[in-house]
Amino acid sequence: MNNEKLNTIEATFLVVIVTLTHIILNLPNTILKQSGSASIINVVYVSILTLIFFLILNKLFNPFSGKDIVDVSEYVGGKPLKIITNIIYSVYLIFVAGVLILNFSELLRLIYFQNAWTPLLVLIFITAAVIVNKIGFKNIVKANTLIVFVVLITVVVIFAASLDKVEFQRVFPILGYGVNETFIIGALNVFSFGGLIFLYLIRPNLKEQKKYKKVGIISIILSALYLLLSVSSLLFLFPFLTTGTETLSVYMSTRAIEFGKFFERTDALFILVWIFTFLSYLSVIISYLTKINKKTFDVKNSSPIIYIIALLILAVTLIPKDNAQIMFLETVVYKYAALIIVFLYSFAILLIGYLKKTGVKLKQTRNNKKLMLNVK
Amino acid sequence: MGYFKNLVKSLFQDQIDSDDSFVLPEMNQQTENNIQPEDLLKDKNVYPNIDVNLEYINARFNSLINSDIKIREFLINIRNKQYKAFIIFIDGMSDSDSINDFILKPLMMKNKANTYEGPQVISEAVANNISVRRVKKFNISDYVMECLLPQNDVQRVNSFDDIADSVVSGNCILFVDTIDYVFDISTKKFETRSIGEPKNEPIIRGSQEAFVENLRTNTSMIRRNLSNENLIVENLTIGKVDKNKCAVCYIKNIANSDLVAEVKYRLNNIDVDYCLSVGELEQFIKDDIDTTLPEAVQTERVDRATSYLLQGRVVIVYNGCPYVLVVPITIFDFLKSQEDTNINYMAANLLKIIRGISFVLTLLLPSFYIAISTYHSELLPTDLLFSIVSSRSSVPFMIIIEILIMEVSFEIIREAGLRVASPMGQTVGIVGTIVLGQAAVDASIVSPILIIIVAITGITSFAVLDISLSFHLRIARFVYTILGALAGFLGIAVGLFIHLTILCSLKSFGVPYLAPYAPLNVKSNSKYLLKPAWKREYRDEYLATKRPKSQGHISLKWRNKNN
Repeated sequence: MNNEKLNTIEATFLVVIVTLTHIILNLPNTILKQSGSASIINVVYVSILTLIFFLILNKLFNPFSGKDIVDVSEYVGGKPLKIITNIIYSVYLIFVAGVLILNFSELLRLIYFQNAWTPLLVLIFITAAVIVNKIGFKNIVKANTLIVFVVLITVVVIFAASLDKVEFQRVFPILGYGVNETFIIGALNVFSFGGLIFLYLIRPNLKEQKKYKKVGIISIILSALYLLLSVSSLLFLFPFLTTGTETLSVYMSTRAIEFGKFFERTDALFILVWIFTFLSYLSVIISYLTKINKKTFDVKNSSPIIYIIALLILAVTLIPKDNAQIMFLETVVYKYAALIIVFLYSFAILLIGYLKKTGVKLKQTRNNKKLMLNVK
Repeated sequence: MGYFKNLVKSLFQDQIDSDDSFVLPEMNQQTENNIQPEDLLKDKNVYPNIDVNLEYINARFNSLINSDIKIREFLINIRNKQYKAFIIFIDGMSDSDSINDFILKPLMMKNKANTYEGPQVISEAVANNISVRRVKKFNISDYVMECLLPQNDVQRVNSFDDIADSVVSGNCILFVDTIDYVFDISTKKFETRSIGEPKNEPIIRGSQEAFVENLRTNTSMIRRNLSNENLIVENLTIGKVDKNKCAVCYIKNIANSDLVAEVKYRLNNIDVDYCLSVGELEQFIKDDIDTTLPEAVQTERVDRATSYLLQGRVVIVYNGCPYVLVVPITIFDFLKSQEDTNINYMAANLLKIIRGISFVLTLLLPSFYIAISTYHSELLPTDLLFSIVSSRSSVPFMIIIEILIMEVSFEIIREAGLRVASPMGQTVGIVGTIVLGQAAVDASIVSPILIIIVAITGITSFAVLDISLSFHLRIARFVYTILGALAGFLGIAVGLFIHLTILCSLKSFGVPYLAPYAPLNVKSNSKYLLKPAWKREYRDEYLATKRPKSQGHISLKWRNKNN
């Protein structure tokens, strides 16, 4: 079990991979649509909100050293709540993974494999994820760390390569659609940090519990930085009002990149790197779902769980009938699901757990004092 | 008609063995209840009766049919008594002159020592006309050992197993009547290849010594290169039938003790009849037995083995093999050359980057070619795309078939060139080049661009220094080519992702295969690129050595003139 412990970088990149996958898909586009030319301010704003949220989260997690949200649920409401939390997390992660993979596969089909059947492409992703899950959780995390490094570099390259085409005037009007849209309704864009869900699950796997705060802060800052880079490159490259494309917004940026006259289109190379991101993301999701289900239902052999989760993800990808439904699931359903589960439900469980723990402690202290008084 | 009849018959009829065909009896049935003759000869000790011993030795060494087993019977005259004795050795493995001059001569010839008749008086006291003498108790065994064998390496042995091991390794064994053990006298001398230059790991600057087949020569070369009394050379035996010697070398105050113990544990627990080379031995001791990736470095260079020892690794020298094994290793060790440390670090890093690029090209170039030309042609500049399309217009095959034809042909030529005698090898290479190159293009079997792709792939594969890693890359290249043909970059990415995860899961004697990159250690001192010679302060941290620092904080003390 000690072999499965994660160091700070590995844990940080587990959180970052989730944000990166969303960045590659439609996240920057969704923020641009929501906040217009104020997207950059909005990203900075929601990043600060998320950071504050995490600091509170860290405080609430403090009494539960080495425990994840599933363990806290058990503490709060016993086995039934543990099972409920597990089911909620499983459904949420399976749904999100399914929708994201379907969306990406659909895009791959549109760009490169026009004659292919999308579920077949999804099946390729899922098969690869199942194979690497059989190799082991820790190895997935190690591979993920290397992949995230490469992906982070590509995001910087995209931003740097498009610098000559940017028009900084597009940042005006600075408050976009208005203060209300940017700061009040725009606050809902904290869903961009859906990767925080791993911060609820990662604690038992950390090598050093003290590093939890560091992991959280670095991962949020890194995610925020890359979200900012992606949003800025899109905003400065394309007028936000004409960004009518519904799919793969960062891909649009890569198509604008030219490396001299020899290499006119390099977008396929970025797609190659992003395929790695999605494979890694899917593998991490499956391995974490396997972990929490194994723990909740006390299963010894993880292989059947891996297969079941993979089949369920495949099943989710078969639900949407067309591209519009996929986009709706990714931009609307995911947004509210992330807000409810990551920022409300889990937080509420943690808060109750914290209060219960401190209440118990207070009671114990009072009892101790009473005992001391009686002795005196 | 008869031919077709026979053909159909042979296709549909079971083969029946004719009565005169030779069939090996099933070993299990034969051995279950029968005691093998070898079993009777095992686990015995030397008898005091020399005739019994002689009979036993004759049976054990099959001396009646073994022409090179020499048994010489003679008599020893000691203190006017005659004792029967015999020696046994293998002709060609022992030094005859040494046996004649320093074993047989002292034992058989009359000399002062063995003709001395009087009692050996230690002390004498006379009281009341009665003299009391203390006489040294005569012990024939001590007498032979101390007075009659003028040799520097003689041991007393009483197990026939040990005797057999000594004889087959070139020693001479002396049996003397009434003694229930023998004298194991070191008389090894056999023809060996002289120390030569490394053939497969040549470098421009640096030592030009290579290991040979003889274990002791190899260990002596290491010891000569590494002047430190903490260098330990421990001997072990591998194999039950061919009891071959191997030496585990490490520096006691640098190498991790657990690592050394693990190496010895694995070597001591190989239950095989024989193991003929370090390549075979590596397969018996590697962590992950299913992978085609090597998990130990095989080197013929003495200086390379020495540098690994100084880093805190363990070197396994195997008798009969001019290569040694080094464990533990990481994948980046296969991309290192001994040249790297002999030249300026910037030049070395340039070479290392080139090797890294070669590694990637030899693995992925054909698959990238097929993926780009089939699925992602927008990556290519328009002019190049037109050129490729026009060059392929006369080729009747799909790109995957074209690539496979070329790759398989290349592998055949490479294999043929390696296996035939060296003058023929060049001919095979020339014929192959002409056939593969000009003729194949002229015949429109392949496109010219593919020749370039296969040639670059082939050349870059030679830049990957380790042959075992090269084999892995060759296998993986075929897989990637097929994946690239099936799904373009998606297929390649899936393959690379699984490959990367497998690499992350591998270990060599507890050291992660991709260390220090997976698990990522940002502060690691052992990155792929070299630091300047004066800045290599620490040993590789993943080796957990007893002496982490290999240099002082300021190694160039002479530059600090204040000191």
